[in-house]
Amino acid sequence: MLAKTALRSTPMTRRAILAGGIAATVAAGAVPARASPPMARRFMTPLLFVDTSLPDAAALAQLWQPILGSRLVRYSHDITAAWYDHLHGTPDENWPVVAGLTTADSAFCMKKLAQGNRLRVVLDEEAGWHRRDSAIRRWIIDRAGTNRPAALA
Amino acid sequence: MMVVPEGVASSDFKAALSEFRQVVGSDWVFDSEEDVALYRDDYSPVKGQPAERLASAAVAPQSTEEVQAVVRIANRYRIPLYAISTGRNLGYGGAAPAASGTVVLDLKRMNRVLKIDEDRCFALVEPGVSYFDLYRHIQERKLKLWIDCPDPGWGSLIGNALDRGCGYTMPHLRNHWEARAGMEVVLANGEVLRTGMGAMPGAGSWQDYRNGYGPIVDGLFSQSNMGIVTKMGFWLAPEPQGYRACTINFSRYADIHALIKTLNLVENGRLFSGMPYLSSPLLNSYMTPASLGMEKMERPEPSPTAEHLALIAAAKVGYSPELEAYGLKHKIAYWSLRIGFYGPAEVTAAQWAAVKSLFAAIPGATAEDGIDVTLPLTPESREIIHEAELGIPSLKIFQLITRNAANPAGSAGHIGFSPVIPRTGEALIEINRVLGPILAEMQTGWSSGFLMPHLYWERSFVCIIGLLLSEDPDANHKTIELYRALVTTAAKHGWGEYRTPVMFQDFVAATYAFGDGAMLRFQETIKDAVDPNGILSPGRYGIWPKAGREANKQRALDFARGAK
Repeated sequence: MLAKTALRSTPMTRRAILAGGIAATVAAGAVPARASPPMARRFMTPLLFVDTSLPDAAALAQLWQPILGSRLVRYSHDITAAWYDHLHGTPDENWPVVAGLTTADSAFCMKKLAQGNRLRVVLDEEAGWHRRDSAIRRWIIDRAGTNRPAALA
Repeated sequence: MMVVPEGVASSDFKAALSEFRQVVGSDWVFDSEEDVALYRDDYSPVKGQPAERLASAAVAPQSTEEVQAVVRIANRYRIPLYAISTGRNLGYGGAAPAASGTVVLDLKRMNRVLKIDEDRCFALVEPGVSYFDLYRHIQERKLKLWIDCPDPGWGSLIGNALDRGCGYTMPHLRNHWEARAGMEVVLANGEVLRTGMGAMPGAGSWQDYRNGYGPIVDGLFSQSNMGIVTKMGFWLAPEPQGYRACTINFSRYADIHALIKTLNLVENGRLFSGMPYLSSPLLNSYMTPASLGMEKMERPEPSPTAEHLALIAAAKVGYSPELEAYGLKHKIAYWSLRIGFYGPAEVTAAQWAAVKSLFAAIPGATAEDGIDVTLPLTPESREIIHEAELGIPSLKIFQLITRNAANPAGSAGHIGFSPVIPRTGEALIEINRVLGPILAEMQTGWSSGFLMPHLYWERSFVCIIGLLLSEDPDANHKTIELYRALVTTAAKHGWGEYRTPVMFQDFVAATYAFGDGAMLRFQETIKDAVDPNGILSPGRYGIWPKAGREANKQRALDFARGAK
């Protein structure tokens, strides 16, 4: 999926409040099933980013490819193109849950890019080291919950 | 609990937010704690402490007209606004305001590439356009144009240029402020100003001739708080036919003087057009893209032996006869200059030959050919090059600061210490003589035996060091003390910061003290005239609104100078 070419302001993410309890991890195999929230967010198939230079991630990709199909994003170390090809410019209502098993620098970039789109990091933990070179992190980004904040008292 | 701007009644703040919602839509005004937390400085050295600057709310307009309306409302209620573009000014304050309680004016939704001209090599963009956005815009249209981008490339062209950031390609473009070509600015009274030829209605030359007529006011909006930039033109480069990078090595310490003189000659004479990098292999102080992992090395730099490291440690201001002899014996260059050339192969080959012949006047200087690629890049050549030197944005720089083998603790960000020194060998040795003892206390992740300059900007040396931060407040406090010591000592020698994190901007402004602070007084005079209510980014670069100015300045200086 190419990034939007006509750079008319694509809808930036709307405000969201992180609902409690969003802890199911795609990486662990639990795809969260959500009831339609009051603000009508459609359920989206989760998107899983895997850095194929990491052996665990490569194994994970093999496991999930038959299930996620095109929702599995393979890349090798540099997450930049993966973000811009698959997520940048996504309309607010179409943001999927995004999970990943990546090196620490890719995780940092994803978190910052996600926060710039008003997403929430619901999981961010270390998952070992790769060849003693890079720390590995597993992470999940979501927009869970669509309740608006209460009006100012 | 709602945070309101200082001096603003809660009822006025609520009313202003309500009116902001009517302008931009209720989806685009943010006052929940969770939403406003997104505007914290990721790299704040005082995160979670009382000194951390925090926004009270944020509002995200989509157009110049919405910015004007928001500014008029802010004026009515005296609500301070702090404009950000993409908010990724990491190491210099990020998205956080200079004064707690300010409302962040988030311009990310203004993300259009308004115009791009392949023949005249320019683009006109809005603040929310990142280097990635413009690069992709160009690639998707198959235009033969290059951008110049920093590392990382996710920031805003306008934001980076206004803060006088830099990149890696040709000198007139990698100085991002100097690549500007006309600006549109919303003033504090809600009026819209266009600079240069933009002040002439219907001018088709807005991005061609940027001087316009009369006093040039563009600089008032750079590293400043005199207006909100809503459009900016940038000069781009036509895609060159090729690129080569070559290296010249020098064997003796004293060569530094002739090296820099000759470098100045060839760069000012435009004999090369790329980014120069000055390293000292013998002092284990490397500045090249390859040494930072951003470019594939043909052969890896050898790790220093224990004997070599001991000689470095014993050197005085980077020199000892024993160290020099070691370098000569083991063929390790004392100094190494890497320079780049853009253009057709026959031209860059001739330029390289000319440059080599000039440096050959320095006894013992040796030249090495390096990367040589034709453009457009093949997939294979893209694997080996430093992408930013070919106008390709990337995020690979973050490999350096997140947890890795060389930096096992990772870091929670950095503070940039970046003094400007004269472009001479004498100045380079002097800054090392003066700051060396202080730098010896630096965290080892970024320490070096000898401070080498960055050559992003023509005609000057800027010695940029990132002082690493951690999650430990006590460690960060020591880093802040180190930064204060460096800035104070550097200022005594006339070495001023080119740019600084928001929380130190008053501190650094005070070092530019010629004429008993004439510069800051002049800036304050202009501020009072163009923003009498002081609503635009109060405190940015040490410029405060008239009301409460002295108290605000004193408070900021007290913090920066170490008061609790």
